[in-house]
Amino acid sequence: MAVIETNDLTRKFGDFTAVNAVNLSVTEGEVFGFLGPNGSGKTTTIRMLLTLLKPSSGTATILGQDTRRASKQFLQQIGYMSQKFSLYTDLSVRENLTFFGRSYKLYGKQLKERMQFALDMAGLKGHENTRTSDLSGGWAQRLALGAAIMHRPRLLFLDEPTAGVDPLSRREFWDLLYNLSQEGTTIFVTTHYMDEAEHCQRLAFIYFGNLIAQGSPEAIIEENVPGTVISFEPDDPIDVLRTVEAAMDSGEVPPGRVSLFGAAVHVVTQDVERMLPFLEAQFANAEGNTPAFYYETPSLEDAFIALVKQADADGQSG
Amino acid sequence: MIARILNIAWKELLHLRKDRVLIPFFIIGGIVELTLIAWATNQPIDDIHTTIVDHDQSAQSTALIDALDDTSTLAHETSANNAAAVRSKMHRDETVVGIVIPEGYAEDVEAGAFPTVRLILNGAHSVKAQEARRAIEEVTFEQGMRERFNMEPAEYAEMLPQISVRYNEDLERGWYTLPAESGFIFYLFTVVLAALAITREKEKGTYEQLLVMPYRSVEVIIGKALAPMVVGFALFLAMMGLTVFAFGVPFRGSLPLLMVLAIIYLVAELGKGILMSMLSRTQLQAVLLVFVLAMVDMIFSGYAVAVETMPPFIRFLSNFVAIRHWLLIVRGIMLKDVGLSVLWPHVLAIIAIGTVILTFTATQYRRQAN
Ligand SMILES: Nc1ncnc2c1ncn2[C@@H]1O[C@H](COP(=O)(O)OP(=O)(O)OP(=O)(O)O)[C@@H](O)[C@H]1O
Ligand SMILES: [Mg+2]
Repeated sequence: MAVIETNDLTRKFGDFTAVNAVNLSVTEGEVFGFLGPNGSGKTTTIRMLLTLLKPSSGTATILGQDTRRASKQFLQQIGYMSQKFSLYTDLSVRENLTFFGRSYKLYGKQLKERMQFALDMAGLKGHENTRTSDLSGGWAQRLALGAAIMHRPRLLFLDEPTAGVDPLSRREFWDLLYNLSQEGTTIFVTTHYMDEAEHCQRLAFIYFGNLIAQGSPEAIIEENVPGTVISFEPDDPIDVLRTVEAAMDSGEVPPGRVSLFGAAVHVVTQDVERMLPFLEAQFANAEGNTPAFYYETPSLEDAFIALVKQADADGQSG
Repeated sequence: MIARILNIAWKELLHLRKDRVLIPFFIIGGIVELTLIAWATNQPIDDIHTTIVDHDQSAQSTALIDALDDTSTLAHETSANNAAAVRSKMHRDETVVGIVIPEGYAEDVEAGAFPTVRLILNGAHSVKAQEARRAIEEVTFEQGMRERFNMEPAEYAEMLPQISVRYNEDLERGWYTLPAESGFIFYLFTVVLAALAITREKEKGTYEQLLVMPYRSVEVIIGKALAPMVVGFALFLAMMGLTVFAFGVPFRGSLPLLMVLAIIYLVAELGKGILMSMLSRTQLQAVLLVFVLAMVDMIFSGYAVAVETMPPFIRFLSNFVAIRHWLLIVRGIMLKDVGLSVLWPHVLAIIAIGTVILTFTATQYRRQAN
C-alpha cells in the first residue's frame, strides 16, 4: 500500500520552480531515501507533504488523505524531524520529551513508558535534567528522533537527520532507523550521504526540482550504469579522461561514460573487449607507469554521476 | 482540548522561567518607572526663580514684592534694573518669572487709579510659568482688594468662586498618573511577551515542528497567550499594590471587578501581541512592531495627551483603541468607585475590539499554517 503518493506535485516561489511535477510513491514499511544536492527541493517537497506549504499545482496523498483536505488529526500518525534543530534548546531533556509526548496525546503511564523508551534509545538515561543545548550533536540528534517517534507514528519524515554528525554516531542513528522500520514504521529520509542512500529500500533522486530517478538502489544502478566499470589510477587522470571522452565521441571506442573518482578514473562500458585494449594502448608509449586496471561493480555514486550528466545534457539541449 | 492548551502554556512558562533577562527586566523596570513617576509628580512646584525690577522703590512696591515672596510658589531670587536685563536672563535660562513694577506705582495706588504691573514669563518652562501666573494673579487680586478698596479678607472672600474637588481632593498629579502608568506597563508587558511567543520559535526553527503537531490553531493561540497572561497579571497586581501601599493612591472601588475587567482587557491585547508575533520573522522585529503600536496606543490612550482636546476625527478613532477604555476603567474604579453601571460602555468596547483582533489572529494563524 502506498503511504505517500504524489501526482505532478509542483511548488513555485515567484518565477522560480523549486519542485517541478514530482511523482513519488512510497510503500508502507519501507525506508525511502530522498536524495539531491543542496537547494534541489527536498525540504520544499517534505513541507508540502506535511501541509506546511500549499502546492502550486499537483496533489499529494498521505496515508490515504488528500493533503488539501486533511484535518489536523492526520498529523497524529506522522513524526517529523526538521532539518533545523527541532528541540527546545532552553528546556531540559525531560521537559522536551514531556512536551512532545503530551502534544501527541500521551499522558500518565503511557507517557512515562514512552519517555523511558526515548531516553533508552537516545542513550540519555541519567541525563534527564540536562539542558538540551548542552547535548553534543549525536546525542541531540538521537533525542530529536526519540521525541519524534514517542507517539509511534506510522510515517516518519527525517530531513537530513545526520548532517553534521560524526560517522560513528551516524551509524548508530541508522541502526535505530532500521529497528524502527522493522517494527513497521515507514521512513522518508533525505540525505547527502551515498552510504546511507545505499541502505534504503528505495530511493528518489531530485535534481533542481526535477525527479530524475526513482527505484531500488540496484535498479537505479542497473538502469543508469549499464555495463562494467573499469577503474584505474593514472598519473594524469584529467588528461586520460579527455582522451577517452574524445575517443567515445569520435566512435573510436563504443559509447560509454567516463568520470573521475578521486585519483581514479572510472570508465563505464558495455564492450570491455574493445575498451580495455584501447585504454592499455594509451599507456604503452608513454614514459609513465602503466596503471593496474580493475573491474568494479558500479556504485550508486556512478549512477548519480551518470544521472546528473544526463540531466545537465538534457537541460542544455532542451 | 484543555489539557493540550495547558501543555503549551506550561512549555511557554518554562521558556519564561529560563529566560534570565525578560521577566526581571520588566519587574525592575516597572518598579523603577512607578517610583520615578511617583517621585516626580510629588514634587511641589515651589520657589520658582523670580527676578524683580522695581522702578518705583516705594513702601507700596516693597509690600507687593514681600507679598509675592511670601507665597510658597515664588522666590524672589534677584533684582534687575530693567526689563531688558530680565529678558537676557531668561535667554540664558537663569530665571523663570520676571516682574516689572512701574514708576508711579505707589502714586497710582494712593490716587485710586489702576497701576499696571508687567509680568514676563519663561514659556519654555510652561508648567512653572502657569503656576507662577496663577500665584501672582492671586497676590495682586488680594493686594488690590486691600490697598485699593480697603477690604478685609472676610469681605472679599465672598467674591471668590467656591471650589470643591471631587475624587482627587488635593489634585495630586500622582493619583492621576500612577494608576494609568500601572495600566500601561501591564499592557506593554503582556503584549511584548505575547509578541515573543511565536517569533521565539520561528528564530529557533521549532515553529515548523509545532505546526506539524496535531494542535488546532485556537489551542496554540490560547496556550501561548496564557503564560504572558499569568505573568502579566501577577505584575499588574504587584504594581497596583505598590501604587496603593507605597505611593498612597487610594483604592476606592471594587478590586474583584477591576481584576475581572483586567482579564477581559488582557485577552484583547494578547490577541494583538500574538498577531505581531505571527507577522514578524524575528523577535527583534516583533518588539519593534510592538514599540510602534504602543506609541500609537499611547497617543490615543489619553494618558500622555488629553484625548478631549484632539480633533473630532482622532477622538472618534480613539474609541477603537482598547487601552483608552482600559485606563478609564482603572481610574474610574480606583479613584471614583464607579461600577459596571457606569463602565459598561467601555467594557463592551473592549470586548468588541478584542473579538475582532482575536478572530483576525486566528485566521492569520490558519493561513500561516498553510
Ligand atoms: N519560502 C521560500 N521562498 C523562496 N524560495 C524558497 C523558499 N523555500 C525554498 N526556496 C528555494 O527553493 C529551493 C529548494 O529549497 P529546499 O530547501 O527545498 O532545498 P533542499 O533540497 O532541502 O536543500 P538542502 O539540501 O540545502 O536542504 C532553493 O533554491 C530555495 O532557495
Ligand atoms: Mg533541505
